[in-house]
Amino acid sequence: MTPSQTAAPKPIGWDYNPSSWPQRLPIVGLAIAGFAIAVYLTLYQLDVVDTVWEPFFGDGSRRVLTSRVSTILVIPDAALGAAGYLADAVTGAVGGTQRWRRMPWLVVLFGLAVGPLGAASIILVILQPVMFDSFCTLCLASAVISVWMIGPAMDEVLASLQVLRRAKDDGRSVWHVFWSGADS
Amino acid sequence: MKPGQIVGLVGGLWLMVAPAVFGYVDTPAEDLHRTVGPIVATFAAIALWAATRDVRWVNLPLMATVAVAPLFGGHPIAATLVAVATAAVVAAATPFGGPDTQRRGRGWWGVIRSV
Repeated sequence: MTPSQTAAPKPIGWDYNPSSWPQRLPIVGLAIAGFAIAVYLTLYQLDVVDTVWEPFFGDGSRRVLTSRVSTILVIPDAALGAAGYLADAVTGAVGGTQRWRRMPWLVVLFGLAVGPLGAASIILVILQPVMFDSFCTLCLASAVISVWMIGPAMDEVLASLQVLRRAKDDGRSVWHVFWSGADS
Repeated sequence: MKPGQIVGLVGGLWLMVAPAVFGYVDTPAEDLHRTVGPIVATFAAIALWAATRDVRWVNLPLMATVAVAPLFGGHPIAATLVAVATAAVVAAATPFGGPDTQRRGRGWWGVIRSV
């Protein structure tokens, strides 16, 4: 078998494969790091651990993590973040290097998981100083991770959307291609 | 190099810390800068990647908002200087997005527009 036969095909008109592991693994790694931080913050919010690590902002983390905004939902907001990161890691890891065309639904789900999590993180970053006059170091670290995942994740989403666009232009069922994939 | 995005990232973070550095906390300017700052930094960070480079243009209206906000009050002198200077620098750097050496089919416009 020649190298060209073993190499994963790239999307039409692309110079690289956005679903290759070197493209996806850093995002999955970031998601796992974010998940670990969010789980730790959740444990503090649930009083499982007594203190929270805060090297820069004094009482800031405690104020932010025990604010009324953090308990506005049934579950602590950090737990919601942990669930989001877990969704990012799972949807980023599942599927092979051809998933941009074989599993468009998964890639779009991955994009939807990464994007809104980043938006929610930025809203929380804004709320920290504006509503509580303080910052939380690990919350900021979590927000940086969320935002840092968006850019590298979107090229794969673009490749899958181009597959769906081609299906529409060719008169094929976009719905069917979305769930079942396409040849190119 | 992606000078526009790096300047946007630093500018956004600067808006977050400037109220404490220049002592204009508890003013409307603080709220504005600490609201717009993270958003500017976010779009600049997303635009570091070539596939999403165009989102850097969102920072132009955001910087325009920061620049004209002192006209509506609530800005001490220091906040006004920070606002105008940061907006000018970030807006001036925004067009310089850096080279994109890789092809991605017809890009995002190809998804929106028909063949």
